[in-house]
Amino acid sequence: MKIYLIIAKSTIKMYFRRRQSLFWSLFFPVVMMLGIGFFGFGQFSPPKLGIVNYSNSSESTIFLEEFTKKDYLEIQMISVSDMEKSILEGKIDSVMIIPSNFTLDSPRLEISYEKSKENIALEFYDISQMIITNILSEDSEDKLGKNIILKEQIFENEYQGYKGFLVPGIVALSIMQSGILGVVFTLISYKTQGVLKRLQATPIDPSHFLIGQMISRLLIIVIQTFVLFFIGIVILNIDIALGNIFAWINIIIFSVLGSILFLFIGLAISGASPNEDYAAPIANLITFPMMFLSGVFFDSDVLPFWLSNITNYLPLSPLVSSLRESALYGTNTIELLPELMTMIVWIIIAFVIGIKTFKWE
Amino acid sequence: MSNIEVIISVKNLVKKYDNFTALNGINFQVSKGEIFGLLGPNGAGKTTTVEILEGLRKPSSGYTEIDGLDVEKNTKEVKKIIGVQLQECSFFDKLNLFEIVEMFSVFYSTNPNIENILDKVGLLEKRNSYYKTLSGGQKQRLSIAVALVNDPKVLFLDEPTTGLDPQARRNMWDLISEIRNNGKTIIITTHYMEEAERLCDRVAIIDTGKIVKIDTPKNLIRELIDSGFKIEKKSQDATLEDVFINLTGKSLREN
Repeated sequence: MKIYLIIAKSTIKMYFRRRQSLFWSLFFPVVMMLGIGFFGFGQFSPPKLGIVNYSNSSESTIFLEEFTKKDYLEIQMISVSDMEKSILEGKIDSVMIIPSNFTLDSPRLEISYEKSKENIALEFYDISQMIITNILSEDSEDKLGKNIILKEQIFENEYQGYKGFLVPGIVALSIMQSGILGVVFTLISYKTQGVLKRLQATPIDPSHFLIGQMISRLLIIVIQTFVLFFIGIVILNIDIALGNIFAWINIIIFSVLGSILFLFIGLAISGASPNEDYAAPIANLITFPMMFLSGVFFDSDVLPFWLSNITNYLPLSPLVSSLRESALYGTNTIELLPELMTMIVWIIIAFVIGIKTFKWE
Repeated sequence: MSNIEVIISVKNLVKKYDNFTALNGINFQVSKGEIFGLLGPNGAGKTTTVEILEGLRKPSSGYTEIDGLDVEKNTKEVKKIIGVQLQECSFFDKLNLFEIVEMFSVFYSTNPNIENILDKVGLLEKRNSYYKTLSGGQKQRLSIAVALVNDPKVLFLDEPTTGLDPQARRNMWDLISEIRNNGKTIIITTHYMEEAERLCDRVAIIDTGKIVKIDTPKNLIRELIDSGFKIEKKSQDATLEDVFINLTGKSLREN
């Protein structure tokens, strides 16, 4: 026990004394969060409209056809039950409801939107008016104006925008970076400098040292996770966990699991690389694609279907999505079981490779 | 040696790597309180021998015993009673000297006075420095400080003065003699014959994995002379190193 305490104490001291480690695990993610969060890449995507269609008249079909021809829009057919969630998740900007008694002469359309997306809703309003006018090819704008209703929806939870999407992504990314790089670089420097060999000359089982290291790193990563979320809350004004205590429990569960996973991957990399010179490139080779394919900066939905089918099972993907779901929507643990299982499978794989390949010298 | 207490014995020690025999039947005994030197050119097997005794490597065959314990069977017990200074080894870079010694004390489950230990090796005023800011001699002395945390019966020093300047080397000799005067047995490897002659009670000369000769430095020299060996010119009464020390003084240059 005393051994673990002194190792934890020393590891944490060394962590805070080493400026590079603070840079990579706190300063760098914060800069990324603030930079991308404030300037927001999210706005460059096309306006997304969800359509709930209750009508099956030929007139509504013509209307919809015209709508889908506008290739600067992203149109999705959705059901009314998905409406709120899709708006809150930012998958669509507003929803247009086509009533069952829809006719072109009296198009009682209803466009719902969340407050921050008012300008986009107005755009859809103008476009629908234009389409109907074109179909009827007569000057009927005055008549239509009264029939298309713009409805500002007050949702219980506010849409958090791209920065809300980004913060949990960056937090997950930082868990991966600190986990893998922290282990790979310390173990390799201890190995090449002969520190591990000196430890072997002491009566303790050197695996105690390894376990102590891992536990301390785990603690550091969980603290890092909370600090980053806290910065997101204070500076980017994001509502994390929506005041829901269970969401915070989820965040703890998944950040601990994520830390274990990436610490083990770090261990596996340091073990499996043929020598010290290979470890850093291998670590980069593994982390770099996940940075872009696991949904940190953009939803993996935008990838081709076959690709996102694969990338959803990369080790980082379940961590990104579980942290995002918990942080933004307070999703409960049961719903996140698939993510949990994927992570556990990876933990087992990484652990086995790490244990089988790790060498002390 | 019958009336002297033996603390280390090595019998028929063999270490083979794939196509290479590092040790080919090493035998020797070390008695309590002795400074025993292992001399030999690079690759002769000095470090391999020492690392087998330290429990860091397993021999291919042979028997090693320290203070009545079979090293191979009681590795952990042996590690508790020996102090180890490795040839190429560094310590945690962002811990200060006090913290490093403290950490190793916990690893040995001992609770020594850390200030005393640092004082003994002349590093007390450096207690708050990081390892990498130390000079070569100071690094070696820290290694020795760490090796002393468990008040070991036997101290292994693997080339403790390699790379040190003459001042630091002399300082190290004084430290080693002092440790021996406190009743410890020391095994030291070195390339420097002058060092072996000054420090060691007995030396074993190793070459290509075998011990060529074991005796006191004096006896070895006498034996050579008796066999008819003569240095061509009469040896000088001083060496260039004496000149160097005479001109630059004995004080350590490291701060």
